[in-house]
Amino acid sequence: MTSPAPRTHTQLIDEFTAALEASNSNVPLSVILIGSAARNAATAESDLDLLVLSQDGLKIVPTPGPLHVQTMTVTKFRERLQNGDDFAAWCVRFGIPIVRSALWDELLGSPEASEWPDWRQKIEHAARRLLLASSLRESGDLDASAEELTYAVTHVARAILLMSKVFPLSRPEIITQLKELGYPKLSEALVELSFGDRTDRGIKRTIVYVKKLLVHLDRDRFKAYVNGRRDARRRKKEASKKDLSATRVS
Amino acid sequence: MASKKERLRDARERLKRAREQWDRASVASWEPVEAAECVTGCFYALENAVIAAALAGGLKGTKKHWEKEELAKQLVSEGKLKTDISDRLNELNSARKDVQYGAPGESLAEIDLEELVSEVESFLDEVDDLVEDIEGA
Repeated sequence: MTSPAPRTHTQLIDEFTAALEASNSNVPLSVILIGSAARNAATAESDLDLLVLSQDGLKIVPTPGPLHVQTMTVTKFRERLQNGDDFAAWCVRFGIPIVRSALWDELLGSPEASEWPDWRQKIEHAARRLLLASSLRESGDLDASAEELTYAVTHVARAILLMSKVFPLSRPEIITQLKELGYPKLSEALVELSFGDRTDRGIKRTIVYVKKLLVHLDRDRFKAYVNGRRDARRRKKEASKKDLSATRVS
Repeated sequence: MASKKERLRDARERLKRAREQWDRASVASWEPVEAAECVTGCFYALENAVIAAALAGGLKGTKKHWEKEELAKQLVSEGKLKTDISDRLNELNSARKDVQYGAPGESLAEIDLEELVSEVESFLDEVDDLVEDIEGA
């Protein structure tokens, strides 16, 4: 028996948009191709990323294969643009409309569409992924740790590029952008995580390096995030101990 | 091709890892809630459990997330597991990626974390039973 031929990216997108429109008939929505595929820079490992925008919530349909869909209301998307969110800013600059509606055109014409993202927000984004990468490494899950670390490195890279007034492109292109900006070591870390062998030693080294970069970029913000997380964990442990003692007494 | 003994050893290792990830995820679900950490931990725990079940059941593992969803379906269709968690994996992958892009997105806000943690625990128990059955066979 032969297996069916894998569907092409175009087939996957067509299949998804047809199902989405059928489940949400007469609802104005926009489907935007984002990520490395929109930049024609996708690698064999890349997902196919879509952004779906609507006025209100939508009936979600299953996403086939490597298709990843992010749904958002226009209000939320606009709010993110206004707050200097780099993901929303990326979408309005490089997103390719597949299903176009007035919603998308209005967003493109809005004043916030040309806002420059706030690079400092990336410090917290990177710190969150870095802590996850670190705890996954401790659990011995090197693949998961490397994946989270890839996100952390990408967030740091975006912070550095935005701070230098260079708009970060898609992840495969960021590798070159970093090199051109004078960050060959960070660029190499991204190559190693994306395409190289994932060793415990290599992951540990990159975790330390990313931490140093984050401290260098904004020590106060990074420390505030890490300390906040540490305090939250401590409070939970204490609450758990109290619960345990109360159970024993009763 | 690995021997049955090797496959079962690797399956146990994966399950142990999944339990640790679930443990951290369940702490993250307590107040003050750390939603992104909880969802990410549950996602990896489920993935490791799926791979554990596949290894124990003599199926080939995979590294791609969407192929693990397919594997989860296959384990049910072949009668090895009762619970199909492929949709849950798909949902968690989306929520996790929303966080990757930056601030936690709308798909994350829709997830009931207590329910999720409990569902993952039950799935890990189911996989544990499967591995135990195959070990005893």
